[in-house]
Amino acid sequence: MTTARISLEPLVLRIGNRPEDDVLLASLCTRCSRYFFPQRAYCGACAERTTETVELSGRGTLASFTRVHRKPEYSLIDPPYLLAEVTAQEGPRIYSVLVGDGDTEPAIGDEVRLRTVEVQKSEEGVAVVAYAFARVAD
Amino acid sequence: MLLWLTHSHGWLIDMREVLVLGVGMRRFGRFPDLSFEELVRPAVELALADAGMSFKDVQTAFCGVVNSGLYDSRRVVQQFGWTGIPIHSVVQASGSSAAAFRLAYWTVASGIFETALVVGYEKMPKGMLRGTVSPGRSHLDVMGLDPIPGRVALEMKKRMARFGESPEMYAAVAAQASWYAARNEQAHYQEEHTIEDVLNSPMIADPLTLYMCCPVSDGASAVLIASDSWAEQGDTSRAVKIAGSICASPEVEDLVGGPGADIGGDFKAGNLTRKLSHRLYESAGIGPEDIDVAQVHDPFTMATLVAVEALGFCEEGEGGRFVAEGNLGPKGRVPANTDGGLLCKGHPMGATGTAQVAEIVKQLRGEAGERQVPNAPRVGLAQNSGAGLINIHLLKK
Repeated sequence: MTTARISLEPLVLRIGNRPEDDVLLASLCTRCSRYFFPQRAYCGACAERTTETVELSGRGTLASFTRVHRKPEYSLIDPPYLLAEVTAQEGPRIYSVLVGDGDTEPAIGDEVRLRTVEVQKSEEGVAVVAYAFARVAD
Repeated sequence: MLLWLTHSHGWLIDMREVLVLGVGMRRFGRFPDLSFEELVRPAVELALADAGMSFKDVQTAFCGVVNSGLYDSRRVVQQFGWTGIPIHSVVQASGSSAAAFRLAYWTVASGIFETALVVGYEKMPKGMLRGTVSPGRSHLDVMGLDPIPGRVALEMKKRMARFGESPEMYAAVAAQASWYAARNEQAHYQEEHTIEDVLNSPMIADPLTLYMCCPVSDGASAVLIASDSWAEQGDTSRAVKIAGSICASPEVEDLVGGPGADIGGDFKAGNLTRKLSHRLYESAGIGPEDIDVAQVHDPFTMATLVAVEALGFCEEGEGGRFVAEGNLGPKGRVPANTDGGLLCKGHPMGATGTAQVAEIVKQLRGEAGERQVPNAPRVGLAQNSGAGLINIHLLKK
């Protein structure tokens, strides 16, 4: 029997049947073809309600990363942790925690891929799932 | 006086001249036991005395504050008298009182009122600056994506890769700011930090160390302005002219990554500051080389580098070297953040905008004591960013 899984933020992350089927959601403007993450009802450039929900491929490259040494208020992630900015294959920038084996130091430009993580379990035993990225090499 | 008010819709307006008549500051620091009224009182009293005005002369008031209760703005103003004047409160993150000052200026410059009081005040919560309002329910919070120091560190790493900047350059910004702060009795930090002190302070998010971030401070500042015709009833020998004030919100090119608060990307590349300062220089008929003293928005040292580039003091990518060579020091090309900046004077968010104006005014009057910029500066600029909204003011003696 598989454990039930729910998304921490359903408008950001759609949960699949298996973890590898989880997808990030974005908006695509049907007029100017810009992507926005997270989703928005109005296109930021056209200022019109011309966007539709799309799934991102979950592939991208590492635009930057830093090791955070303090625990932010409300965070369930223990420092030090890697905070990353990912450029999604489709274009938008995504802030994410970088997870993985961490055997080698990451580098700007590394290929990364969506990897969802369980951050909490509800009292009923339901896993609350959030998005993160990991290097393809990890 | 023909002035640009923003860049996006080409608003060029004929405004009347407005003078800063008085400024006042309470020393920034930690004041957990003071009420907001007590916090603000000395700043406004000093500004009134400085201007030679009575509270009864104030025709309207604008407050800038972020963390405050429902009645606080009214109480901090009305403690001086229930005179019935319109009171406004502006919440715009770090730019709250910069925006309040600009609105007060627009109001007087357009002829609605003759005088205005601008008050900035804040008691800051502990911990790293963050942007969200629904704690604990989003990726932003739960996954630790929100702290602003982390986002700034990401940009520092990019600048290091792109422009060859070094942690020593980021530390030099803080060292310069601390040199000024040690000569400003109203600054939170009263001691000088060497480049080594800054590099050796605790790591927050590499390469960003504790002393590359502003301290957590409380404080208050106040500015009194008046139309030139009203002011000329009294002594205007120490008055400073407002030569322009411009603002805008981020455009789609400045969108930063998600998820989270749609803060603008000006802290990354200064695009909005670049556009707005260009307009401001244009309407004043000057260039960046004419700025004698500047206050730029520096909650983190990297912001100083982005700002000096965007304001045209040096080329893009040269900010690190420009500061390391001492160009923001008293004998440099553009003495900047001469009160210690947000980095060392402190950054009680609501109080920052009016504190920047207060410092420019003191410098242009030649009343800045040990940290006075030499050769009688005549033109000063204050650049401020609040939640990605940029306000830039130009002041002239």
